[in-house]
Amino acid sequence: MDVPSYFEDFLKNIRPDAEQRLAMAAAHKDLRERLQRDKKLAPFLIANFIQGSYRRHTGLVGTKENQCDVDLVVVTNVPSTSPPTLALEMFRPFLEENYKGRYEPQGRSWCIHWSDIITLDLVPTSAPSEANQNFFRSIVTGFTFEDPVFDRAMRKYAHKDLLAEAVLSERKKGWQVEPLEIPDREAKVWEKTHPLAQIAWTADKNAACDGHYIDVVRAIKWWRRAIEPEPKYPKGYPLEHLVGACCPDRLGGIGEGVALAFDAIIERYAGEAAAKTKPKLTDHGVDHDVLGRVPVDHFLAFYEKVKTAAELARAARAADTVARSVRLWRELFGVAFPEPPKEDGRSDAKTVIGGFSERQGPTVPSGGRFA
Amino acid sequence: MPDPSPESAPEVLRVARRAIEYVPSLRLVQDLAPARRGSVWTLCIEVTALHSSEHVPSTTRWWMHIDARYPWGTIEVYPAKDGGITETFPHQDLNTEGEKGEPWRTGDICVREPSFAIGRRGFDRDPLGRPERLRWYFERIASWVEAAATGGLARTGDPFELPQFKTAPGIVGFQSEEADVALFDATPWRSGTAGFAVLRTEPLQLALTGLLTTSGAVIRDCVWGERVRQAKQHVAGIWLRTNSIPILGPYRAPRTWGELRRLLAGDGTDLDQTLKTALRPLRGRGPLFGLLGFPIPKTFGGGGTQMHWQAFRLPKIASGEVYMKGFRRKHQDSYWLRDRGTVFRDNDSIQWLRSENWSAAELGTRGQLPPSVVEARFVVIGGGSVGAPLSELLVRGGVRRISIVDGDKYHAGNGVRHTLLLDDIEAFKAPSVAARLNRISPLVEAKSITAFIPDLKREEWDEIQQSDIIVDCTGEDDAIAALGEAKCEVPRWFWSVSLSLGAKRVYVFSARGEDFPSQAFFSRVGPWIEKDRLEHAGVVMPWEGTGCWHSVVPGRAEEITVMVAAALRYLCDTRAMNLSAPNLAVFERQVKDGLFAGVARVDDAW
Repeated sequence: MDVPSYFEDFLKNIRPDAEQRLAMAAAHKDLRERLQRDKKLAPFLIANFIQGSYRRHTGLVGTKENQCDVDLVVVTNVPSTSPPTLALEMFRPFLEENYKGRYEPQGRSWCIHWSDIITLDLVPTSAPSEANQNFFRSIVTGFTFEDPVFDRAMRKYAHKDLLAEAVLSERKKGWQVEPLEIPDREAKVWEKTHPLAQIAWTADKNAACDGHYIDVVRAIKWWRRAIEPEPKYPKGYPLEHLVGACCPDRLGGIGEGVALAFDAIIERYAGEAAAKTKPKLTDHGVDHDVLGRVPVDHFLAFYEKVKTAAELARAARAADTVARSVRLWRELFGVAFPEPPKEDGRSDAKTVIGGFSERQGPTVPSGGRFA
Repeated sequence: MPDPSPESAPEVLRVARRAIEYVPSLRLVQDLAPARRGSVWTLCIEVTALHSSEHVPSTTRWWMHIDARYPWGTIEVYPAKDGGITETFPHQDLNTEGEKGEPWRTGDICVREPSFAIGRRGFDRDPLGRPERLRWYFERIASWVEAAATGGLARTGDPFELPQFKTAPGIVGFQSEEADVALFDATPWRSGTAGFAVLRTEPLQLALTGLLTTSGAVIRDCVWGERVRQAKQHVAGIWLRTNSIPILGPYRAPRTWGELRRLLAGDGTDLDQTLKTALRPLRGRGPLFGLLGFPIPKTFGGGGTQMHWQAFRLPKIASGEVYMKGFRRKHQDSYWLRDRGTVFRDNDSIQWLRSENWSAAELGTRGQLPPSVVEARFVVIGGGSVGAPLSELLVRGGVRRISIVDGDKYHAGNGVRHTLLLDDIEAFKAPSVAARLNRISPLVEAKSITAFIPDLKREEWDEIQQSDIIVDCTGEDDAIAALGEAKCEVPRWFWSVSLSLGAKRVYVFSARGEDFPSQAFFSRVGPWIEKDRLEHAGVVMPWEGTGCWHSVVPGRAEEITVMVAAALRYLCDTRAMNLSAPNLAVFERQVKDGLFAGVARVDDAW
């Protein structure tokens, strides 16, 4: 059984809670406002937008060990002929002034420690082409760009994801928004990345899956984090991309998506698993292997774990009672999945509540008090 | 706007809604979300029924409105605008389009009503307060839809339910008994004039006084009590009847004149012709009302057991100088044509009014005293702290003919244990009590005689003779003596109810005969009076009030009410059992360890 209402409550437990969501929104709002006010940086900044799992609604609840990341991409006009470190270093004075003692450099970004469970990542990019610059200027109205809110009751975005829509509509017109380039501090090179394509693809896929895709991703990420943390990789975006590649469209529910995604992973990469290699997965919009940094032995160990999980998911779906099904799902996902009901739910003829009962005599109203 | 997610719904409700997994024909379409009107959670479900019909597709969508106080509070179930049923069925509120901007219609399906029973099995009532309550609703919704699809909502033998008419505030009372169906069947008249007494204007309260032919011959007269007979204002109207219950679709009452027109045409009645003729004598006579009569059964599938007269307010019709121009001046045709073209068009709504059968049987469904009491003509002597509540209990229990005899006035201090009100202070008790009794039910005829029993005039005494049961509530030996001396022509029942000091005991006496057996009464009551006196030796009675020099008998309303009710109960039992020999029962208030412990019978005969 697919028990959709149980999955709804499971997701409530693994999504960032309302307090965290508010805190994350406050964090990036604060950063963007400060960036806007900074007069020294003003000539160099074109636009900014949020990327990452927070943006794609595929993130999990934050804890001290697994913090909530909010990635802010800041599109600058630093030419890609300049050294990459320049694009990073130009933010140091700003960070020193606004987030003294709370920031540190990372490979491709600046990391701001907002709280003990929320981090902000400031990811600068080089100047895009003229056409791209115009695109960004046209759709992003300064720093008031709204991130879409996912309406869970309606299973769709509460209002249009402007950015995703814009990308998709440009594509329809025959013009592709180009990838951006972000600096790699150590390698001292510019790397191509296409967060917009990822965002657009995810929104599209979610619509094709009747709003269930992002929850399937979350559920599987949770399975990795809470139940099968070994091997370490794949996790994060590579895991998400893997699920995206294998999850079928037109899902009836989350349980169905999880089970079918697992089955598809096993089937699709059976060859690689047998050959003791890993597949190559091309990212959206850039020629980049998503699994590039995943060691082969990690992938193979992961593949074995997926086989077990797939069996569990299949059994849970095939179970003939609610209680049995819920118990199996709970085995797969852990205690974050709601508990099964105490009894099997089949009331016998004698029980009074929640079912038909044979009439023994005249109907006696319950309660028995009148006024 | 707050995050409209099911997260913030109360835990007990979230757990309860997971029970939907147990009902395979149900599916969650839209999870819990707060409704705009606050303190209500909405849930959209889809039902897939085994059967479908013209008005019930195989899948239907429903919106549940769950009180935020779940598992307390109400739960309503409305058809969705998108994918829900659009017709009205039995056991369903009128199913109209509903508020703009909301995704639900108005037809709440009455799954919690006990009359909705499936297959002769009795459903237990809505398990209010229990966490699993939602599951009960899920199962019932599935049953309701299945029953709607198979025509099983109104099964032969189920209690009959009228279709819901969309009514404006107000009420019209009529009278109808089983004989009416045959009466109207036998007449050729299908419409005519109706008369109404106006009991109240805001909100409207009318009582039907009679149904006549258009030429004024009475077909059915309604006999009412004093209140209706004393009504100062009367209004007129029309009546028309049809052979079948006016239903459209599965179970919807007509809403417009066009719909009624079509329904009546199917019955062989030309509505326009009927209206034209019936309205003829009523033009220019002020606000008019109407009645649509049809026989209704007690159970679905049964034969008609009474006429139901559904009331409506007629629109303002043409008269005087207002007529259809171009036609003969002030001719019936020109008036009617104007009406037909302005207020009786197909799309004009009928302004239905709530109407009810106010026959004794219908009004008394919640309980009536035994027939031997209800049918009796009563005379209650003494309209004081015993007589007033006793007569009120009699009337509410169904007694229709009652006279109150008392020469006293009502004072403010009496309010501690009486039924009269501020307005009655310094008025005579007898007429005031009678007036109040007349306002209890439209069938009561309460009269009064303002005099003390020993001082009755000849004609007043003759009036009292027209009674079946005389009840002494005076507490006065003099009254008992007077009743004992006056010989009645025919034997009747005599009752006496009086209280001991402080209403600790009530002395309940009954006998049947041509006069009151006062000797028997005094000899039986005597020892109790003595006992009472000894118990209260030395006790000082309260004074009337500062400045007044006479004492009053203490006794509070709740003390007296309990004793009077017990006495009446006993007397009705003796009457029903025809115990005609003189007998006295004494009931006493019981107290144990300082707590009230009931009323018990304490006399030796017990």
